[in-house]
Amino acid sequence: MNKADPITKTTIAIVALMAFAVAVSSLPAQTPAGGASLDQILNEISSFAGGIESAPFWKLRDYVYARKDVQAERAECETRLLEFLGTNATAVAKMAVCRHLRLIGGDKSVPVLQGMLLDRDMADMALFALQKIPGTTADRALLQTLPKVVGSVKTSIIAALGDRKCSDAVPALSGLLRANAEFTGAAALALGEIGGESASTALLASLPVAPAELRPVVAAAAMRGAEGLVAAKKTGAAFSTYEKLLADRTLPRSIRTAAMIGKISTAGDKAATMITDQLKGGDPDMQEAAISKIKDVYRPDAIGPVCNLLPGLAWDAQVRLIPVLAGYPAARVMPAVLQAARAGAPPVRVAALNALGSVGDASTAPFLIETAVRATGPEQTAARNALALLRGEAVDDALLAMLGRKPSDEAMAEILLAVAERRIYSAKSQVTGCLDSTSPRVRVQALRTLRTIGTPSDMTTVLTFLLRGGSDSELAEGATTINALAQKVNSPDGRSNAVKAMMTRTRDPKERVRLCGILGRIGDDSSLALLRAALNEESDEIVDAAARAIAGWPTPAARDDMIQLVQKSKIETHRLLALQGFLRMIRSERYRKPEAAVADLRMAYVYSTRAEERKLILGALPNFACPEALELAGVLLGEPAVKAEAQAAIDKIRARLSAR
Amino acid sequence: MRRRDFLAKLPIAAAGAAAFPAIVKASALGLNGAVPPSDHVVMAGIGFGMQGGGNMRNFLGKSEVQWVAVCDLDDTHLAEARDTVNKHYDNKDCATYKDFRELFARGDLDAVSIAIPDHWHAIVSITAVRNGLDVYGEKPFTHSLREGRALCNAVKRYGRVWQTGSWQRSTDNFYRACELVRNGRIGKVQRVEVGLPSGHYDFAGTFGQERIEPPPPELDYETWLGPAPASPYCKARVHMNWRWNMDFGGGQLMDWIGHHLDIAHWGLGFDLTGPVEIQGKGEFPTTGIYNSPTRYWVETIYADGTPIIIAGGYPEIQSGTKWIGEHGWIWVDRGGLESQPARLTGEVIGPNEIKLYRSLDHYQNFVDCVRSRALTIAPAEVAHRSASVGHLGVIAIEAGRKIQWDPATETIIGDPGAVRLLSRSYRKPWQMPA
Repeated sequence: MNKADPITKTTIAIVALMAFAVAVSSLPAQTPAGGASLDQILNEISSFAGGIESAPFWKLRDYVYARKDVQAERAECETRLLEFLGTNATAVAKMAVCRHLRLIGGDKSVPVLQGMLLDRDMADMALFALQKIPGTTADRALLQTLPKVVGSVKTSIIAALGDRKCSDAVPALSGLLRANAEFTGAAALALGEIGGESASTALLASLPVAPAELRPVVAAAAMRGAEGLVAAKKTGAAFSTYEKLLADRTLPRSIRTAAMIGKISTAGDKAATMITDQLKGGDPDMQEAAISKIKDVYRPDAIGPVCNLLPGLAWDAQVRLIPVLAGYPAARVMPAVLQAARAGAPPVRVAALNALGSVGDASTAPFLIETAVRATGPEQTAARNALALLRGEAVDDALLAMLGRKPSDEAMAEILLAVAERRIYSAKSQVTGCLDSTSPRVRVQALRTLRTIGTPSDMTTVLTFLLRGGSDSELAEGATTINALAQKVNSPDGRSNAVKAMMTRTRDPKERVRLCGILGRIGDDSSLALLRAALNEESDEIVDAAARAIAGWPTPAARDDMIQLVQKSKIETHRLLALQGFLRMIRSERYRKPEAAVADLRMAYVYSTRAEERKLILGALPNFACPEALELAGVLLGEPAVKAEAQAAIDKIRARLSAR
Repeated sequence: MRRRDFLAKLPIAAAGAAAFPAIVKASALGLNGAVPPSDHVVMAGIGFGMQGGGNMRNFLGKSEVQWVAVCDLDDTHLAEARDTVNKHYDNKDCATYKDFRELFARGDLDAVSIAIPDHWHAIVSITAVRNGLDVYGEKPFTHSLREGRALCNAVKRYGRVWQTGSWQRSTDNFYRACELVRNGRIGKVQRVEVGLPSGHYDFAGTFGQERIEPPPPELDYETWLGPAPASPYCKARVHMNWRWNMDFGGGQLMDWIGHHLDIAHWGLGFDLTGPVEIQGKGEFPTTGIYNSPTRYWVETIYADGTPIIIAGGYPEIQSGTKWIGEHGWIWVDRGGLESQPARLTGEVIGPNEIKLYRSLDHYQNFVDCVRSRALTIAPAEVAHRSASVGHLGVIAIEAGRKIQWDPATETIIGDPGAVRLLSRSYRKPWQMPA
């Protein structure tokens, strides 16, 4: 060691201490303990009834908490608390003390708590603490007390011995199993918890003579014990337990099913055969047990025999088995799953189609498309979901190839849907080509697919399609697609460029009407100038479309335009729509200064003539709680048609103002 | 009749033939859109003080579910639940029970929805699965770590289907957020922040009503207390506000751990593991009967070094789940999904990337899995692992020191004092079933 090492070590220690101090100080501070002595606190809680005078309870908590980690102080606490248990304090106070003994009590506490077990009224609280005190002293105390108590106190001690996994208690508990039906259940559960071969033997021996209503409990305890045997690597003993339980056909079905699960789990090399035997056996519960163990037993390359059994099973067993098979390598299971998807009962087909999403491949795609075309309801949904989930680019290629072969319109629509779900961007040119299809369904699906895989550069194509005309629903779909594509433009001011360009090129009123509507959907503020100009056109339809677009504008940039419409439009519908749009805009701007927002609402009030709009104003006012809002609501209180809404607004505004 | 009993009576198809009994009418198998009577999932519910009613109404809306009974210790809740069912079916057939053991003894149930105080979760749920029932159970999974493991083992032992009420997993926002994280959109996750509510909320309007009095005649209070320590009755102790007392619930931490921490786990792929180190601080009331922390801060570290902070009452930790990675962050809550960079929330997960379990309807997912026997989106083990983090947080806060935890063996390392907190003692005559 050279001379630098001690310095280095000291430096490292200092740095570590500083880091620790920083780490500790970064945690929020704990509530500090009070200043009263323990005697004072105990004196206060001695009459504690567990109700409103509970402050001394918290003082006791804080006192013990502050001292629990210092050995001498902890010991002193323990002594005083034990002394307190011998006083005339209330039961609730003593229980409070036992809560702390649960955490700080040691061997010293055992005799006092043991004595309390003999008092039926004190037994619960004593056990509350004693059960958690580690070590053999507490074990012995419980065992010694066991024969001295009766009834539910005895039951509790039995449970405590089980919770403590006290192996020394096995003989006593085994005796109780058969000696007294009153304690059979408790003793059985405790033995199951303790585990081990002796406990297991005792449980199985008592099963035939246990009271009928307790036999399931004893059997369940035996299975619990078997799990302990497995953990202790005594698999043979566990297997034997399960076998015996399974052989008892008088046990409830749920117990026997669990026994089969356990038996398979512990069967080692025989597990696989056991599973196939149960699958062939036809008992639904045993089949269910067997199916639940397949993934634990069958290696990926060995699942063949199970697949072979699939078609011969009842349909409900198939429904349960198929999802399990879906977790296996596709090459091993796909033939069986595909067969089920083709020929099974309806629920089986659905299960198999769902599974094909995991195990299918490119070769499965045509079948899935065909199914999606043919089927309805859950089967169709399952086929579509599977198409979306199939992995690998080969699937994409297969779908594109199908698209290129010009299938039926129904198949085309399903392929286009899959293209969207799978985000096959390379299909874009084919998809836009489908806009020329003679099938409305294909055209609509193409529009929908373009929303996902299209880019802004496709807007012109879609616009051209839209301007050709079509059904209302198709035009609506097209408008939605244009908007979706527009939203992919990064710059908010460039989203409507394609539409604006088309607007400058066409003078056809019908086309200009459609384009105005689309500009309104997109909400690109840079297109407001065009819409303003459109308000002055000769065609009433174009003016109407422009007004509606402005009234529905999504950003505050159209505020002044809306106000202009409200104030100056000669068409009442436009004034109304603009007013509603204006109110909607105000409501959406929740971070404005309240006074400014209320000033706008007041203006809206001036131009509103119907109760509907005035109710919207009152609905918005509480969002901008200020004296001006209260005043405006007060004005509306005088109008019978909106009086209730006005009062509600006043109440909310007042509540928000007083909460500040 | 239980659906599996009906199914057991169906003739088995000959090998090689379509496994579809020709004698069964097509309509009996759900063709033409009808749900065949044999394929109904026969259900009942236990606990209607708060969440239970909502769960039941969701299940009543499923055509595949036949709801036949309700169980509650409060006569008023019981009557309301019964009336809801009878009104739905326009009959008076809904049976009522006060003892869950009698309910399970009916023999015709397939599944049960359990929405009871936490301290009862394990006993009732284990008894349910032992009786062959599938369970829709509310979170937190159980009231202690040991109970959680016991319940997980019981679900596995009896081969039952379990769905936890961690319904956020069946909501689009959370699903998308988790897929983005799992597919590396923010790179390696360096830190996760889970923001939960703080304080105590007066769900029942009974805050301050702590006068000791006899329990009302409609409530079987002694049974309601069940395995929890005996406490005298007062209004503030029961119905909805029980959760603020650690004898019955776990405060906001345990109420919400099965939501936002569960989502954190899902996004990280930590569904079947837990932290290796936990430390925490809490602030507690100094008066009144409630003793769950009103403000808390829990720090956990996982085996790969990922830290997860769980906090309530600290504004610097935003409500919801936030994964912070090398290349940005993703935050999600019931109200929104945000990211940095912002474009991440619009990104699409392709078919060749990691796809998470997709459920669009938490209740439907349970019903579907009851029929298919597949794992639900929030199965027992996942729920236990989420709740475990909360339990460990409570232990760390109570112990006042850092806890070392082995998630594989589920043991606390080198801290016998903290080990005492892994389980609770049961008041007589209650005992953990098997």
